[in-house]
Order: sequence, then C-alpha cells, then structure tokens
Amino acid sequence: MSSAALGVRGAAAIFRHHSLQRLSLIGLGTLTVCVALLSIAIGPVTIPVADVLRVIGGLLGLPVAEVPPQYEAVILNIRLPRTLLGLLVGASLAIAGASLQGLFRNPLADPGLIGVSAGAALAAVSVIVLGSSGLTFLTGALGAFSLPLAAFAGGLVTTMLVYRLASADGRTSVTTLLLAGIAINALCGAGTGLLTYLADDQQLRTLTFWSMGSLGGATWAAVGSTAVLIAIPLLSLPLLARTLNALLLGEAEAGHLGIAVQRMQRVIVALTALAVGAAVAVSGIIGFVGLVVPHLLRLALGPDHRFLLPGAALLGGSLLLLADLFARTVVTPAELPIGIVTALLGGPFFLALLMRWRRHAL
Amino acid sequence: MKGQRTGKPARHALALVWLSVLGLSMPAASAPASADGGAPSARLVSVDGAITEIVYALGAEDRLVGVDTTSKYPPAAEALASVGYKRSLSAEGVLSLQPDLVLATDDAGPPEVLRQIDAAGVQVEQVPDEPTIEGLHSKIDTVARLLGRASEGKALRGRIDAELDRLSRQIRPAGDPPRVLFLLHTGAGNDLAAGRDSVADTVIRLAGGENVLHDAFSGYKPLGPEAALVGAPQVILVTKRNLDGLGGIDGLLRHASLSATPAGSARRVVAMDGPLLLAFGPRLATAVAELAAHLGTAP
Amino acid sequence: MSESPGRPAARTHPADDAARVLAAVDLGLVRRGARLLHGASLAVRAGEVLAVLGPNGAGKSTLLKCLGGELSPSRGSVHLNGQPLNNWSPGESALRRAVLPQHSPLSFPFTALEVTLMGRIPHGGPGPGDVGIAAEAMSAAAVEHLADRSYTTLSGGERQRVHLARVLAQIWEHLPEHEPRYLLLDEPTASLDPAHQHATLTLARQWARRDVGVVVVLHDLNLAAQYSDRVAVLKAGQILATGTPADVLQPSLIAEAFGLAVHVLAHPDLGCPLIVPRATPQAPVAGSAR
Repeated sequence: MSSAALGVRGAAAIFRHHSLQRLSLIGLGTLTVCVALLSIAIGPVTIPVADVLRVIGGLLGLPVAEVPPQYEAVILNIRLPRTLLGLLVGASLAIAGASLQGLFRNPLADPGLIGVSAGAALAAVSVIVLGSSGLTFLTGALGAFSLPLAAFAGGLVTTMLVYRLASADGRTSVTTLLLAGIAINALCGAGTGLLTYLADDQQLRTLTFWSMGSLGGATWAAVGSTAVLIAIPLLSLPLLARTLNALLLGEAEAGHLGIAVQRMQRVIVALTALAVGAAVAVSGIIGFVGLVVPHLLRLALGPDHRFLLPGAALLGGSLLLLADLFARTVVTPAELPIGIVTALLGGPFFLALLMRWRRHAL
Repeated sequence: MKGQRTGKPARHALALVWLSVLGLSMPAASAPASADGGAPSARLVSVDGAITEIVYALGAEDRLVGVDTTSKYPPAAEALASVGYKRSLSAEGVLSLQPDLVLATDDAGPPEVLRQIDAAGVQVEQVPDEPTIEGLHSKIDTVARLLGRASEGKALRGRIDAELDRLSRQIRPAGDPPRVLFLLHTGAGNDLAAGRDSVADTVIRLAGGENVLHDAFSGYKPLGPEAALVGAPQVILVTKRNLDGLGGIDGLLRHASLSATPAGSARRVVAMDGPLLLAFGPRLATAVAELAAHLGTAP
Repeated sequence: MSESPGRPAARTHPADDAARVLAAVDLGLVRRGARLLHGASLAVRAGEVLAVLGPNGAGKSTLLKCLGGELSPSRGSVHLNGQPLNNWSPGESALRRAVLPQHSPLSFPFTALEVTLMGRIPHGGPGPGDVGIAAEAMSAAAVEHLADRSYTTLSGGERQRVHLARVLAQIWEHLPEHEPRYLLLDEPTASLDPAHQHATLTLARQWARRDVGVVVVLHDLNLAAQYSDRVAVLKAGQILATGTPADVLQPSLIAEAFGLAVHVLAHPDLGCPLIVPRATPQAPVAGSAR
C-alpha cells in the first residue's frame, strides 16, 4: 500500500484530536477541583477563606492554627459531605446518561427513559407511604437506609423488567426497549399516583420534596454508602468505552467486531441502573444532568466514549455542584430544591436540542 | 482538626504551598468571629407558626432571628429571615443565622439536616404537633421552659383555657350542630378537604360545629366532586386568601359539586383568616370565637 | 480452487482444504413461517471472490448473515476454517472475518478516520500503531481525503467506502500460519457510482490475492462475471447453481432465476460473459431502433 504520506497525515490528525481530548480532560479535572473548593468555601455561613484553608489543611495533616469550632463543623459535617455527594451524584447521572445514549444510539436518551427513575420513585414512595404499616418488617430491619436501598432496588428491577420485555429471540430491539420503557414509566407513574392518594398530608410533603431532588440530606453515612454503590459503575463503564463505540455502529456491526453484544448490553444496562438508582436514592430525582452533560461534551470532544465517559463524570460532578451552590445560596437561609435548578437550566437546553434535531431531520 | 495537629510532618511539596498560604493568613485567626460581643442573649430560630406565636405571646420575640414559612403571625414575624418550608430546611442556612436554639415541631426536617444542626453545637428541640388542647398545652409548656419563662407560659395557658372555657359555656347550638366542610384549597377538580386529626376539625368542633368529613379520613385529602354532595354540608369554610383567589363566593360556588350542597344553595360560605384559623396557637380561642360567631352557635 | 488467479505462491504448509474455507452446509432458516433458506450450501475458499446473485428476496442477505454469524440457522451449520462457528468466540471470529453491512445506523459525528479505526477493536485497538493501518485502509478505499470529515456529513457512497476501509482495517494483517481471513460484502456497490463500483470490486480482487476469501452479494450480473472467480445463484432460499461465471451465467439459468431473457456475449477485452437483456416486443428497450 503506497500511502505513507496519508499515514503520516492521518496519524497527525488523530494525534491532534487525541491531544485536544486529553487536554480537555485535564481541563475538566481542574474545573472539578476548583468547583469543589468553591463549594466548600461558599455557603450561607460566611467563613473567611483563611479558615476554610485551615480546615482543609488540617484534613491533609498540616499544622494549622485553631479554627472556630462552628466553622469546622460547618465545613466538615455539612459542606464537605455535600460537596462529595454532589460530585458523586453528578458524575453518576452524567456517565449513566452518556452510556445509555451510546447503548440506544440516541443522543436524546435519558436515564429516566428506561424506567430507572420511575421505578426508584415508586419504590421510595412505597417505603414513605407504607413504611409505617405494610412494610414495617422492611423499614424496621433497614432503618434509615430503607429509602435509599428501596429506591435503588426499584430502579434495578424496573430496568431489568423493561430490558426483559424488549429482548425477544435472543436479541434486543432498541425500539421495543424504548416503548417498553414508556409503558413501565406509565405503570410506575400510576402506582406512584395511587400511593400519593393514600398518603397523609405529612407524607405528601415528604414525597413532593423528595421528588424535586436535593443534596440537603448529605451526611458522611450517605456519602459512604453512595460512594460504594456508585464506584462500581463509575469505574467500570469507562472500561466499556470501546464496546459502546462499537455499539454505535449497530448491534450487528458490533458483533462482527467481536463484541459479545447481548452480554455487554446487559452489563451496561445493569451498571447504568446501579448508577442512576443509587443517585436517585440519595438525592431524589435530579433531571437533565444525564442529558445535558454528554451533549456538551460531544460538541466539544466528539462522540468517542473513551473520552466522553470520564469527561462526563467530571463535568457532571462540576455542573451539579454549581447548581447546588446556586440552590443553597440564592434564597438563603432557605434553599431551593436542586431538581428545580437543573430543570430550569436543562429544560430550555432540551427544547433547543429538539428544535435543532427537527431542523436537521428535514 | 484543632491546633493539636501541629506535630505532624508535612509530606508533599504541596504542603509548602499550603503552609505559606496559612502562614500569611495566620494573624486573622486570633479573632474568632462568633464568640465576641459579651453575654449572648439566646438567638432563636422558630420552625412552626404556632411556636412563633407562642414566642411572641411570651414576650421573647427579641430573641427570634429566623422563622419558617408557616410563621405568618404576628406580621412582624414575616420580616424576619425565612429558613424556608419546615420540612425542607437547610442546615447551613439555619446555621448562618448563628442561633443558639432551634425550636421545631416533630414533623420538621429533613431529619439529617436537624442532626447536622445539632452536630454543629446548636440546641435543637422538637415539640409534638397535635391539634388538640393537650397538644397546645404541652407546646406552650415546652417553649416556655426552653426560653426560661415557665411562669409566663403557665399564665398564657391559663388565659387560653379560661377563654375557651368561657366560650364553651356560651356555645350552644340550636338543634343539631351545623355541618361544616373545610376546604384548604380549591382548584380544578382538586379540592383539598379536612378530615379528622386536623386543626380545622378541632376548631370546628370547639366552635360547636361538626366536620362532615370527620369519619371519612384523617388529615387533608383531595375531595371528589360527588363526595361533597354526600357530606351535605350546611356551611362551607375556606380561608380568605382562597376565597379571594376564586373571586369570592360566586367563584367558589361555580363548582357544580359545591353549589348543589345545602351550603351552596343557601350561599353559606364562611371565610376566615388562614393563619388565625390554622395556626393552633395562643389565638386558638379567638379563632374559635370568630368561627362560632359565623356559624351562629354563639350569641 | 487451486486455479484461482490470486492464489499466493508462498504457502507455508499444505493445509487441509476444509480448514481453508468459510462454509455453509445445508442451511435452513424459517422466520415467522417464511422459509428464508432451504438446504443452501455454499463455501468460499481463501483466495477467491465468490459472487452471490439472485432476485430480490431470494435469501442472499440472509445467507450472508448466517455466514457472518449474525443469524443462527434453524438447520445446518456454518464452519469457519474447519471449526463450527459456535466454537469460535466473537473476538476470534472477528480476527478472521469482517462484514460490510448494507447500512449502518451510525448517527454520531465520529470522523471518518475514527470510524475506520473501529475496525481495529478486535485487535485490542485503536492504539497508536493502528492509525497507520487505518490510514492505509482509507487510502485503499479511496477515502483518505475524508479522514477529518465528520461521518454524519458524508454522502451515502462515501459512508459505504468508509465502512469498506473499516472492514479492511479489521483483517489487515496476515494471521499466524497464514490462516485464511474472509470478507463478506453485502451489496457493496449499491450506493456507488460506476467508477467506484469497479474500484471497489478491483479492491476485492486484490484482497483475494492476499489469501482472503471474499463473498460479495451483487445485483449486477456483469460486475459478477467480470470480478468473481465463482458465482452462486440463489432463488427462493435455494442454491440454483454454483460455478465459474462462464459455466453458470447461461441464458437458461438467468431466465430461471430472474425471469429475464438475455443474450450472453463474450466481453470484448476480458472474454468473460457479458450479459445483455433481450429486446422483446412486449417490453421494448427505450431508444431501440427497432
């Protein structure tokens, strides 16, 4: 083959491309660290930057001067767990969104689409409403963890159910998968509605605020259990980047490239269900992160999942922290549910996306 | 994380950067921001409308630095910093008011947030929230004790009991007690009505009326269009704000389900100030008296 | 088979013939009551171009999907280099066999080079060494000028050629002990202009010379006659005939398979069959002087 010149040109092009992507990842990492520091430093309680640095320095084992104990309590018990939880939840939602969009070959796919959110919501509402009567054995055994665990389990079960419905003949049709997701979403919505009717006033308020999403319940215990659950998809999905790339070519083509398509699809579905279920469980339904973040990244870095997935984790964490920063400082000393903030940002974005899509589809 | 960490050796190069930053800012550390200004009068955040009213009634309002969104009386309370809805508090938001005491009902939350506030060294007290005279008693007692005003609390209790006692002797319905339907809010096909174990239920009973939904359910629930007819209320009770929002009695009775009730055909709609009717605090007797006057159960 | 022009001289050792074919044996496939394949047997040997011909709905693509492992036949079996297909893991098959689809649902803005690089996935790529291979494959498929272009902005024919580059990159290198590789092309000329149709099939011939067995589904009988070593004609899920173009592409068989009356002439330059439809009174050829 007499194409040495092209080889060089192609290599140069791909090298430029990759170094841009690598630089962007480094940039995103820096952004994440900066936003995290910002999130630790800023809040309704005004704490001098010097004291913030002292507390962080103390954490790192540095010799630092004494800090007023309330500042220390605010930073260590409120802001730090909340910042970490925001990073985890944002990263988890974004990487799950990116993976699902790859799996479905549809950039408009959202974690809510395949039933995870609806299933998690139904399970959580069941625990809130029936926890004091029908499900006492469960809430008694699991205590404060019953809500998060139920939400996660509900998300997983519905996702598997949707996936099972969509798999026939040993193959998975994406169209059927989406339609099954719609049906399951409707069923879970009806179940949630029924339970909402049974709920008393107090439970109803809890339901409302849970369904709008919040990082307000961030404790070290929540961070710990969430980190354990989210670490699995967060670390393993990027390892499946090449598989997701191949799946974008089509299921048959991915099979021809040596991918065990059915098995990998199942693994990806389970991992994304884990990511979304764990996130929903701890923070309620926070929409649009899984949609907006992968989209912004694809515009900047291209669709290659090897960069998209880690990038989505970093940008997702940063964006959610920024949204949370806004949510907890804008109406201080009260705070907005973060789901409202992400919906306010993400809703118009989604509409713009749809319009662009329609234009291009013509 | 206090000064005791000083012995530990710095491990990485980054530490040098930290040290220089910290060193530069060292002088600022000598003046902790919170603990200055002499003997602190306990700063108080109230997370319940009734508790706020009790604080005012006990004459301790100068201690209040923040209230929740259900604290609407007295009007001065609304000028205080708002910590938001009582069930979605923000730990740091509350802490930013630098309170020494947070008074809340037992339905305030989220629980993690209350624990975080407690962990930051702020006393958090939760009072049972029962729409009964006994519940009000214990609420007043607890708040008074925590504010160190037990005797004022006892006096307040006595005053309320005496008024209620006087009212109960005056209230004598001619014949059967009037059947009352309370609507918390009304919208298109979604009327939220009061059942038993609700503030409205208790106030209606104290005023000599009968809540038509007492046996139907507990708390507040959506009311189907025909359920209103079945209850056959003689009086429809709403808040003033709700009625104004609907455009007066005509607006309310435009709902076919309500206009067909005895109350609807007689146009017997009673509108009361929401915070007065629903706070279940020191002004309970006032609310009962006003409702009784509307119902015609008292002279 | 030993007469195939592209046969490499430097075979390391004489291998058993069964180990050097991709073979479908007595395939039967029924889907929703429709008999798509019925007793179809076909074998492509390393180093030859085998054209699969037949009218619409004859089962050409179905047969190719069975050879590609995409469909499992209800009856019969497929063997790759002497082993039943199921004995190979997906990754092992992908090193030995690449498949060019008629259409790909790819709708994400990868560059053409990135698409081509995906062909290196079975080799553990794409890594740094794979860029050179991808670039050469693009050059072979005449799409090197599109390397930086977004796939979504390419025309149908350009996309088809980028995928061709991708499948070439997939089976680019010889396997150990010169184990044969196979290239399955499903109507690779469908969206191409005539020049690129010939270029693509010339490429298929070159790859047959590199010891690759090429199966190509075609509609154009003359392209099949000109570029294939053997042709197989399919009708209603059954193989009507298999053999050299000169043997198989006879007027009687073409009439039977396609219901088309033709003249078979000799190609003026190549001597291979040249098929021209007869002009019949019922269906006069446009512009005919008759």
